[in-house]
Amino acid sequence: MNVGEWLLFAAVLLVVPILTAGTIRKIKARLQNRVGPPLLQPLYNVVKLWRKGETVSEDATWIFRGAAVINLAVVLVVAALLPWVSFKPGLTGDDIFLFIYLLASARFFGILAALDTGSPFSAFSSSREATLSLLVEPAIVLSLVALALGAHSTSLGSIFAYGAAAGPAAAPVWIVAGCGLFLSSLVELSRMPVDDPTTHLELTMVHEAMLIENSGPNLALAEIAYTVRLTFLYGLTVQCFLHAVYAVAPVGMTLLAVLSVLGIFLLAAGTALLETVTVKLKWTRCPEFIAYALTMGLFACMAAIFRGGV
Amino acid sequence: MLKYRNIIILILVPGLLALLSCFGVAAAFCGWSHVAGWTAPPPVYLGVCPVQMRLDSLAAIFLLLLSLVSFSVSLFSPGYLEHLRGRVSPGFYWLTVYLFIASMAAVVLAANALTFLLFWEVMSLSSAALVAFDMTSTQAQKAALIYLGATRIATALLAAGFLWAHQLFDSWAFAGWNFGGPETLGPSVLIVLGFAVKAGLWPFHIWLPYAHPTAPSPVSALMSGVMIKIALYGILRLFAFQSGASLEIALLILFLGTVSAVWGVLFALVQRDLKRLLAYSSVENVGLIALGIGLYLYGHHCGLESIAAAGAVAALFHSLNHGLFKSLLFLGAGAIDASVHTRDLSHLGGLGRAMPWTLLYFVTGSAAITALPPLNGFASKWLIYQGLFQVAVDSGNLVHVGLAIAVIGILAVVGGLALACFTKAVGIAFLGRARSRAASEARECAPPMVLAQGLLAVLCLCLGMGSPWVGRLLSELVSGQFSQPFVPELPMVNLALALLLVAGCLYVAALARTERSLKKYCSWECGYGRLNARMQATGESFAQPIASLLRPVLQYRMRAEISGRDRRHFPEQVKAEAGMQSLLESRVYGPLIAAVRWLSAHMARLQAGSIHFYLLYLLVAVVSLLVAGVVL
Amino acid sequence: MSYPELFAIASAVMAILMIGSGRLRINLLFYAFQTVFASAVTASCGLVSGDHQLYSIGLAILLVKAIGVSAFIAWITKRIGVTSDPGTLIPVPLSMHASIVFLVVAHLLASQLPHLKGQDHSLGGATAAISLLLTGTLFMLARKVAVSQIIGFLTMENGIYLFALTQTRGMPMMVELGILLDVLVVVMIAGLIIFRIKRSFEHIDVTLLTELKEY
Repeated sequence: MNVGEWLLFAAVLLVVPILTAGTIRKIKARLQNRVGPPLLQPLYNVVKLWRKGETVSEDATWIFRGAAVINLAVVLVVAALLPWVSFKPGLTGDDIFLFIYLLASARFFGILAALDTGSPFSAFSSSREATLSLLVEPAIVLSLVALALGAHSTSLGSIFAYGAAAGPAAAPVWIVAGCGLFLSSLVELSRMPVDDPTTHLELTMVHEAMLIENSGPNLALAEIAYTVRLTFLYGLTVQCFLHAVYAVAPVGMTLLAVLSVLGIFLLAAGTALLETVTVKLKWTRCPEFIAYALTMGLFACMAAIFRGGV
Repeated sequence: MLKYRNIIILILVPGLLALLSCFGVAAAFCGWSHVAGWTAPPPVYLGVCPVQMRLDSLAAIFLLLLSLVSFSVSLFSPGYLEHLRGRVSPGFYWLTVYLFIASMAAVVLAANALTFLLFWEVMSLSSAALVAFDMTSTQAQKAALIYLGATRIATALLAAGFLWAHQLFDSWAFAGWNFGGPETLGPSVLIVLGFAVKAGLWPFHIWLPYAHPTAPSPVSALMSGVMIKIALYGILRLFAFQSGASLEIALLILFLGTVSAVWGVLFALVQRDLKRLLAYSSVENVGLIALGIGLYLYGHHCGLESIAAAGAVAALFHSLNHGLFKSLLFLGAGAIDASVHTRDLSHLGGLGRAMPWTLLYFVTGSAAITALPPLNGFASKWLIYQGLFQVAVDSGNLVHVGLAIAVIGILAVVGGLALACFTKAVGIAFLGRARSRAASEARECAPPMVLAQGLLAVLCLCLGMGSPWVGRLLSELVSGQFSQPFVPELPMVNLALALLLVAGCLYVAALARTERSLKKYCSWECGYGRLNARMQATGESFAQPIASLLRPVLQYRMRAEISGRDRRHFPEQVKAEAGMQSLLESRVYGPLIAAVRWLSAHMARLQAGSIHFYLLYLLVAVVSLLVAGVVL
Repeated sequence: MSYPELFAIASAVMAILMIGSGRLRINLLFYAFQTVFASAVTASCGLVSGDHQLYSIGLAILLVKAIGVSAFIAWITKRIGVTSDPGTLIPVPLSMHASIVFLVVAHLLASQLPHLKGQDHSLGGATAAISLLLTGTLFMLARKVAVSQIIGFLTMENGIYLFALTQTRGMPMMVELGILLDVLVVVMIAGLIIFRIKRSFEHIDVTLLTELKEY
């Protein structure tokens, strides 16, 4: 394996998550006529939290602190499993179902940690998190399966390999699956239409309320895990759209690599725009929104089947 | 005298079982590569065919599972029986358990239909006796009745199917049966339904949530972990490993499996009783295994080897896996029961600090059943996904492709529901604060009980890490029929090592520093004062969002009553009650049972009490039989 | 896949996306998109066949149905103050997934049809048309508010129109324009009736129409 590529990958994984989270905040602030925090604010936050002491609930068991570590570890391993343009880092067997169930294990321990303190707020939000994940899981699975149908393999490496000539007929599958993944990532990341990351009321939050008892380095770990998750979910979406571009007009690998990173920031900007113009949906209306993600996944599967010429 | 008795009950009897289990494991390993047969000597004879046993590789897998589970049951039982002292006599318990385990082994080894049915009956009756061990409670009576009813129906269907099959093939030996042709549809449907009742597939699952919670926990572990697998073993033995089945049977099994998976886990989520929850989750997993079998039969019928291979390995692997982690979870529930004397989730909570080992193993079991990598549940679920994906890629029939994709989507929902269900089980039972006095006084269970759970947990981890090797072994077993075996190529060991390494580094870097200076404080409660146990979320409130989403299926109702002078701002009394009932029980089985009752009430008139009437019946019966014999 | 087929499928997809929302404004927006695609089918059919009358029909559809009718219904909903439809029987998101199943069913049905034109590329058009028909029916069945019934009816009408367009060489311009006018009049009358219903009953819930039955 090429050392240079590895170093580049590590550097991107180190820098991009923080910048993406910062970009969303900054653009959102600018759109609302505020100055906004500096672009590197997420990094400053993490450093600050890292230095602080930690307070833990009396009722917590080892699961509470263990889950924070396990979560970040899972997220980092997943990031290393996903292919990035032509570079396949990490392990072999980068399977789509492995990817999905690794995400599920991060969620499993997240929910347990939230229940561990006995706080009613985190229990509320963890029950909502379980509901959302239940609804969004089939959307992610079907979007990825649609792509896998085209590649005749469930390995992410071969799905996202830039083939010789996919032809413009492949573009609809990639675009629709990309839309499905984007909508799913909004839910998965607790972004605006389903959850407001900036509200001040614990009762209405999902992701932030789950972390209500975390403090100090423990909270820092959770925040890093969130930004990394944000990056690779958006990264995967961007890869889909890039494939659609590639299917129509093949471009060079270096350009694709640059575009894939730029695309993440573009999606971040899009998220900021979305969060400025929309409001958080009422909880009972969320399934209606998530249903569109599943619909995209189903359409992607249909497009893949008909393209395969059944 | 009393002391000797104690020694026998506490050490010798379980020890013997453990020894026999070890012997079973050894036999299973022998059976892996060799085929051994045994026919009972002449005086033992079943009228039309001998008692015949045969140990081959398929039987060996299930024998292995049985032996492993009975080994941990033998470790677990003595401690658990302490908790049941006065309600069950150890002599009765051990005798029935021995009989139960021995009959299960015999069913697995049976080589012909009559031997199979004989031991099948012993297995059903001995387990029914164990379900009914505490006949003083009405709940146990009801459970035992329902369970007995289900076993009767299963046996009747099987007996009818076997007789019909004998008629067709003119042989009692399983080896001579072949359900490939279209004329065999009748007996195949009967036999599949008979096994489906016993396995607890939808819509015949209703006995499971009654029988499993009432039986003693180690017995639940045996029943859920092994016995229902034996029904699936029957399907595998008769259809999969002979010459396949018709497409209708394959589709029937696939349909039942899919519905069971969703139905089981959905009802598991809304249960309050920990063991009922586990029983419903068994319905889900039986459904998953049935999906594997169905995929195998489908692939076999259509001549698509990759599907068949994935399905066969998935079914076998998941049987093994579910046997292990479900037994582990039932033993965990038993440990809670022994320590707190309740399994009601609304009275548990905060057990994690008192019972750290049980918590660790229960979390392991839950993670495995939720199919989290790198544990074993993931490997077998992955195989099922692969089988379905192969259908979508290879089958070439638009309807089948669409259905396969739909089932993949449904399995994803099942995964999400299982996650919610088992985070609820762990979170409400072990985490947070104790919801009752009994829960706050919980103690860790006796070391052998911990050891029994630990053993199963380690096995779960090992099977997960070694899934490529286990998969290869299992596919070698079925490889006689395939040109290229299907092997799960999952980098489980690498993955586990990477996770461990990263997690370790992170712990050292971030959390180990603050371990010393950790401040303890109460959880955030909006500044109202100390959080009490009643403020915590309950199992019901955790499951409420999902339950209200799926209201129509669950018949879920939430009644809230708020009273007080100014009920909007200063409520004095808030009452909330969630109710749900099984659609199937209220709409289908209820009327059915009512009809049977009505019928039997009217039939009872036949029983007039007069001996002359009875003689008349006899005469009528004999004459009509004679007439029938002459005419036909 | 040819352009008329592509646009027809896009129109069917828009109808499916329409059925997934409980808000009338979003329903109307997707109805407008769906009709825009229907007019694009018309125009591209004209391009393929060289029949220039189809351009003007397409333009008329765009102006009358996509813009005029949508704006009119939007105005009605605003006047009577109804913004969303809770749906009956089937939950709203599920009806969207059901209509995707209907799309597959439509494909199976369409592939069984004897091809009137004897050309391959009418398959997509027929699929989309049948799917629109089924989606429209489902929309009318699954909804409560009378406005939704109009939208569902219009969706069905789009389906019938697309079927006629893609399976035959199209009808004479006068017939097409006549049908367009009919649709316009129907919508106007339905709109007026909704006003009347709202005034007499103070709701426009069609599931409560059973109250009118005399015992």
